[in-house]
Amino acid sequence: MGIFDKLSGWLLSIFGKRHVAIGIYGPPNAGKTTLANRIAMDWAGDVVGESSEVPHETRKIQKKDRIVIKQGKASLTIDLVDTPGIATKIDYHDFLEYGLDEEEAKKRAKEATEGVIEAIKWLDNLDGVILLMDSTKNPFTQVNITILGNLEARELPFIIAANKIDLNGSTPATLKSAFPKHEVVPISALNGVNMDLLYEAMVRKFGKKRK
Amino acid sequence: MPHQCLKCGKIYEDSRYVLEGCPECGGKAFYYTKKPLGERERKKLLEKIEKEEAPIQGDNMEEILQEIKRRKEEAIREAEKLKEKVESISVREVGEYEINVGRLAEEGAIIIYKDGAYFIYLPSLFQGKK
Repeated sequence: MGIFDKLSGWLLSIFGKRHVAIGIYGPPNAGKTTLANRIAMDWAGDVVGESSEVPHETRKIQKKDRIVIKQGKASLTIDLVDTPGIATKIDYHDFLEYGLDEEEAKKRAKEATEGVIEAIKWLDNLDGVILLMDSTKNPFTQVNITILGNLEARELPFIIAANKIDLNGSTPATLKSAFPKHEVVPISALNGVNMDLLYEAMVRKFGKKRK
Repeated sequence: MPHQCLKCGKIYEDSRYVLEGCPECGGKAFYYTKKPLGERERKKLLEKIEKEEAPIQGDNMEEILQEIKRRKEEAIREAEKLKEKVESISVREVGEYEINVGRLAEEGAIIIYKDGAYFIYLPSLFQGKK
């Protein structure tokens, strides 16, 4: 190890300045794209992708590079990766009620299924994950449990963000007690509630050098 | 149990004819059965076999090689078509499945397609990625 590496390692340990790739994962309609857009708007004045109420709007990986998040003296440069929603069943019939015709709905179902595969493949390229859950919904789903188990097995740092806390019926406390071993940050990506808490957690968690 | 030649219907107890062909008519397809089949049933089975596994025939080696090449290209085209599909298993109806071997072999992804819905077995996608 050269003097420069030693010095930069020492500086990193003090200020935690790093460049990392962070993915936003979760079930469809948890608000992944809304969160990605919120982070990109707050720190880069730009958006990552389009969000909509129709499930599986994001069917391909979307990426925004070099977003710098600052927390006091520490800062973190992230390449933000917005991923398609992970689901165990994608049925084109579900899209018909949103006004899509049959052909469009079938195409969407196929693309969304490909998106699930792509999203999971992308885990190999990431340094950390924000696992986004909908705090108005039951957290004990196959999707949440499977992603969480895999992140643990990979030893990939992650933060659980309990989204939609501004909605009626939201129970972030349930989510927190469901995953007591993990850091859960209650947020509203749409209205920007508690985003400062999320940024603080991101810099702290993802700024650390991985073993 | 006897073997019945599907072409002429003759019954043989000795299974060597299954390999050698029917001494009466030269038929190569036999049905292993206690109860001999009627002509209509035999014809139906024979047609099905011919459709599925038509033997490669030709007057000379060149023709046979051409036919092999044609069938190989056809099989590759079929496999290419399957590659475009996202599912590894399609359920056409209960009991009839189409297996996308490429997807299963390359990625191990178990995605079942039935009645317009994709069922994704998540552990198969996460497999081996620890």
